[in-house]
Amino acid sequence: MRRFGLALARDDRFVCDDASAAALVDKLFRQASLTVIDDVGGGVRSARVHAFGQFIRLYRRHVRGLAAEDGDGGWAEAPQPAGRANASVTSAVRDLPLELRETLLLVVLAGLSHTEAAEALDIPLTAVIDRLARARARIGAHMNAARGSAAQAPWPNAAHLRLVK
Amino acid sequence: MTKRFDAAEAFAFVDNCLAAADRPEFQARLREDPELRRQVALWEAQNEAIRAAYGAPASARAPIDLGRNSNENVPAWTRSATQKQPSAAPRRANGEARARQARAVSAAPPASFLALRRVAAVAALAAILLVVSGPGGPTPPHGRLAEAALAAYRAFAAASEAPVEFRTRDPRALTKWLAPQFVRGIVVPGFSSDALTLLGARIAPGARASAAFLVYEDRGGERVGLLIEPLDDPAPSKPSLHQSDGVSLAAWTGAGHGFVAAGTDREKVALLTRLVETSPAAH
Repeated sequence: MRRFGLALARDDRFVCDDASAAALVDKLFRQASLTVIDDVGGGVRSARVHAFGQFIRLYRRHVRGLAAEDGDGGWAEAPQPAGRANASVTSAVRDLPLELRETLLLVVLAGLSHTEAAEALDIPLTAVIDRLARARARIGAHMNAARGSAAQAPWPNAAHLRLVK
Repeated sequence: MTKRFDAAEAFAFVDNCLAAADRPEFQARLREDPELRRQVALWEAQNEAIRAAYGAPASARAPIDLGRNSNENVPAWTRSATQKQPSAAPRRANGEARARQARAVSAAPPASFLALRRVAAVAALAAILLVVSGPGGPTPPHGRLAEAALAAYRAFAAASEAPVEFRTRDPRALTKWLAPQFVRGIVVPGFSSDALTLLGARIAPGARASAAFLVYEDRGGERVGLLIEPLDDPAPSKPSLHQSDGVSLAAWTGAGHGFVAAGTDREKVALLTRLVETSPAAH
C-alpha cells in the first residue's frame, strides 16, 4: 500500500520529489489508519479495499486543498507535458489525470480486482473499465509520442476497442 | 482483420481478475485471435513495466503463450502416441469382471488406512521435491523466461531514453553493481565485439524472481537486451528461439542461470547468444 501511495502521490505537479511524496504518504497513512481501525468490518480483504479507498479520499482532499491555495480549479488534471515527452513509464503514469492514475495504480500496482477498485473508488464497475481503457490508451500514446514513431510503437492503444456494458 | 472484443473481459484477463470459469473460453479466443493476443500481450507488458518501474513484484499469473518454440523437435504423431487416448471400444463390464472387482474390494484394506498411506506418500514426495528443488521451485520453461525478457525489452530497451539504471561499459563494474542485489551473484559476460557495446544494466522482473537486464547497442544504435535470472540448478539447455511481434528471443539455461537474448534484429540476437554462450560466465 505504501508503494501505491508513493506512486499516486508523486505527480510532478504538487509533489515533485520522492522525499516529499514519502512524507505526504506517511502523513496520510497516519490519518487513514485511525479511521480505518474504527471502520474495519468483514474480512481482511474488505478491510484492505476500505483502506485504499480511505487513503484515496484523504489524498484527494489534500490535493484539492493545495489546488485551492493556488487558486486552481483543475486539481485533478495532470499538467500538459512541455516539449518532447519523457519515454519512461513513470512519467507516463504521472501525466495521467488523477482519476485515471488512481484507478490504474489500484489495479496494476495494488493488485485489486476491478470490482474491488470500483468499491474503493466508490464508482460503478463500468467506470473502472472505462478509466482503465483511457489510462492504457494515454500511456500508449505517451510512449508512442516519446518514441516519435507511432507506426512502429509497441505500446498498446485502445482505439479499436469496443466497450460492452 | 481486427476482431472486436469485449474490453472488460480482456482487461479482467490482463489484470488477473477474470473468473476461473471464463478463463478457458477466453484463452481459446486468444489462441484463435492473433490481434487479441497481441493486444493482451502489450497490455501485460505495460502492466509489467509499471510494476517494475515502481518496484512491485511481477504478476503471479502465468503469461500468455508466446507460441510454439522454433526448436520444438517432438513431432505431433509422437506426442499423440504418448498421450492417453480415450478407448475406442467401450469397456466390457461382464459378470466375471464385476465378480473380480467385488473380490478385490472385499480383500482391500480399510479406507482410512489407504488415506493415511496416501497422505504419507504425498508428504514424502513433497519432502523430496523440497530438497531437490529448493525454495525457488522448479526451473521455469524457456517460454516463461522469454516472456519476461520480452516485457523487459519492450519496457526498457526498445524505446526508453533511460534503458539502464547503471550505465557502464565495464563488465566487472557491472558485476560489482549487481552483486548486492542478488543472493547468488550474476557474473556479467565479458567479451570483446566490435558489433555490440555494453550500455549497462537494470533490475527487471524475471520469470520467477528479479533478474538482471543488460542492454547492448550496435553501431547503428539498435539495442539488444540480455536477461539473466538466477535459477535453482537448472539443467544446461541449448538456446530455443522465440518470436513475438517482431522481437526475436533466444532462451537457454546454464551455470545456475536462465539467459534470454532479445532484440528486433535476429542476427544481433544470434550474435549475442553466441558471445554469451562462449564466455566463461556462462559455464
